Amino acid sequence: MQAADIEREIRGFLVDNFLFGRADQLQDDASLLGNVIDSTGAIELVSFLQDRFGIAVEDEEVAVPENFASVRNLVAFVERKLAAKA
Amino acid sequence: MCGICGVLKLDGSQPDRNRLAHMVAALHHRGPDAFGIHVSGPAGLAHARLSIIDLQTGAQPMCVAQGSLWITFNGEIFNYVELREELLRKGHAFATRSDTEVILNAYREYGEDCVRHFNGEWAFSIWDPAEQKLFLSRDRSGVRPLFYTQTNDSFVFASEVKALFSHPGVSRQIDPLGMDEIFTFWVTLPPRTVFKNILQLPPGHSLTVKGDCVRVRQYWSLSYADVEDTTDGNEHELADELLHLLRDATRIRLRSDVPVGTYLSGGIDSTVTTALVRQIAGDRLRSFSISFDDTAFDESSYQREASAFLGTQHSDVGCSHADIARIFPEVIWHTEQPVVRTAPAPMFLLSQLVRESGFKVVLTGEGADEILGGYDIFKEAKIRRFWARNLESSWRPLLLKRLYPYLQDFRRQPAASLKQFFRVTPDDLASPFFSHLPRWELTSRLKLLFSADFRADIGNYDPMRELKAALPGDFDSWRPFTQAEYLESKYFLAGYLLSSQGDRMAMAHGVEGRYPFLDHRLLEFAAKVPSHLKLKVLNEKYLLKRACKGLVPDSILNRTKQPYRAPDSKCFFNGAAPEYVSDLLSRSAIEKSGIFDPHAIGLLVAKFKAGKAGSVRDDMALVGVLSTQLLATQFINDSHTLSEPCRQPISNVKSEAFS
Repeated sequence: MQAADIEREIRGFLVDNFLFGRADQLQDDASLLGNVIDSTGAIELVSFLQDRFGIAVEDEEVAVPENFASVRNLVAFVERKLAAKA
Repeated sequence: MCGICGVLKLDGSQPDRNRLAHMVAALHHRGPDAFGIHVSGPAGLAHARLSIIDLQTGAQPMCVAQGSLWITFNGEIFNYVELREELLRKGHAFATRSDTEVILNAYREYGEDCVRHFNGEWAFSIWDPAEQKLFLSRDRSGVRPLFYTQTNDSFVFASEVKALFSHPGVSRQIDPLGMDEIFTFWVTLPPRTVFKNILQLPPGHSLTVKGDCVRVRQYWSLSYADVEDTTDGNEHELADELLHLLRDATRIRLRSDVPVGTYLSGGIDSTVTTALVRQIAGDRLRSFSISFDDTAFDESSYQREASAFLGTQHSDVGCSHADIARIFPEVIWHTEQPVVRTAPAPMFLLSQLVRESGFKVVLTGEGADEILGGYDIFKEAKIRRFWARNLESSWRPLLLKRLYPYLQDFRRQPAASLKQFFRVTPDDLASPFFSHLPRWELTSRLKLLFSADFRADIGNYDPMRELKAALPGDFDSWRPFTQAEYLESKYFLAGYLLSSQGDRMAMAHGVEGRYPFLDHRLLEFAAKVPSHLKLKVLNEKYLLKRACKGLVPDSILNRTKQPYRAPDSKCFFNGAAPEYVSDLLSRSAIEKSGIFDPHAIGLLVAKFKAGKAGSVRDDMALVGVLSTQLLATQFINDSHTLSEPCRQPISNVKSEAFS
């Protein structure tokens, strides 16, 4: 899967799930946690990543702020996980 | 308990009696026992009566001294017995035994300052023909509602907005700024409401209309003394004083010519209230509660335990998901504002149970959480502030999990996400709204659902800036706990709890709630109690628990506090939801009211239908949208008549006797 496809999927999920369809609210480098992803949102994001990309996400990985900090970081995180799986 | 309304013609002409009759008819649920209308010069007062005190001669509107003053009054002045004695000594004559006449004579004696002498819950209007002055007042905490507006030739007031909307000169429009406030704070900032040009008289305020001049004046506010440095040595005395005040507040709230019951929620506040009523009023006390089919919300085992311990005859009404969905339109007809939780709905069923059991008056424990440190938001703020001293601590966020043991979803969250959600930035720490930022920011997320046009109407309005401007001048220097308490008691209590969950749900069935904890003597006492005796480390309502040891079963004193909540979105997406749900969420209905973006609502509905929703955010979004759509349909879209939802009797009442 290409980085561009991963990004499209992730953006689509974030916008539909957390921003009620408002794509204009999702900036490239803005911090996601606390801004886009709210109190019960992390668990939704983790289950999306697991279902959609077939990767396992550990609690410790959620605890690394860099992993979920921005769309860019999230895409890089998924790419790393996919590469490790392959 | 009653409904009031009236008109003052600003052009000096006489108001139309039929118009007043039409307005007061919209309040029939508040006062089904009798109606009255009085017109005197340019003023017309109307009253829908629920007879509680002086059943024979307490009819309204009432006058004193051959019509020198007229009044229409909703509520109770609990110290009317003592005030009557005082006024008799000063030479005033009384024709009735009612508290209504006490207000009139107190007004003659003390003028507008009469309200400072009252201990009670009221909304009233006095017409003073000699002065050609209309005087309106609302109680200190805002237990009773009072709305007003102005048409091209009249000043119009009423207990509920629907009576104002029954006046043909009053236009009906949603106020986008009011909506923005609801979707931030859950309440509007008084005097604003969600309806354009419809204002509410803030709690603790009076208003006069003379000529064409309307003047609003605050007659009472709570001052929080800085008492943190006092020692713990007087803890015992403070507990005694608290119990003494609570007992007296309860005693005068039992003044009634009809039988009085109590609510029992299974928590400390309603149990101690019931215990004191039982001590004062004796045997054969009736208590009432709600139980939930959904065990995540049910507290009936504690309710039964409290009832057995206190020896009350207890009745309970079951509340299912289907019940909430069925009555929700009626609930919003009465709240007259959007809600983001369904919690008012069970209170509607409860007041119906009380009424069908033959009771008109109940005492409840409302207010204790606000004034004595009961809410989780106080704990949450304390933990966040504590944690802010060491931002990298990995275990401190885990403390937050201790806050919400009843929220399964919350407990499943990785600690890292809690840490992010409850993030504490230097800006947050400096904010006067520190305690409330997580709640308000989460709720504000729902504004993404507004349509582009509606957002344009809101413009760059910033409700937090508006609130900041309304805070007391020295608010920034207050202690954090006191700031949180103030925000909770000043705004959330009156604007939501006493209204959408309180007066409106009780009065939907002509039931009057009385709240001993909101006696102003108790409010003033509580404001002087050091915060470490309210929230001791993380032990909420510490002083109250200490004060009511022995009065309340230990199991209830020591249990983990469960905030009152009701099932939300599950009620509306379970395959058996009433038709109105899909109708009001349809693209055409969303476009018709124009408030929300049809695409965004489509995504939300699809998420629920796919079973992928269920976060607090999604729940609040759904309930917020549905209640707004109901409000717009019932009050705005149908421009000819207000469409009151039909009423059905309840059948799922269980009654158990313990006496």
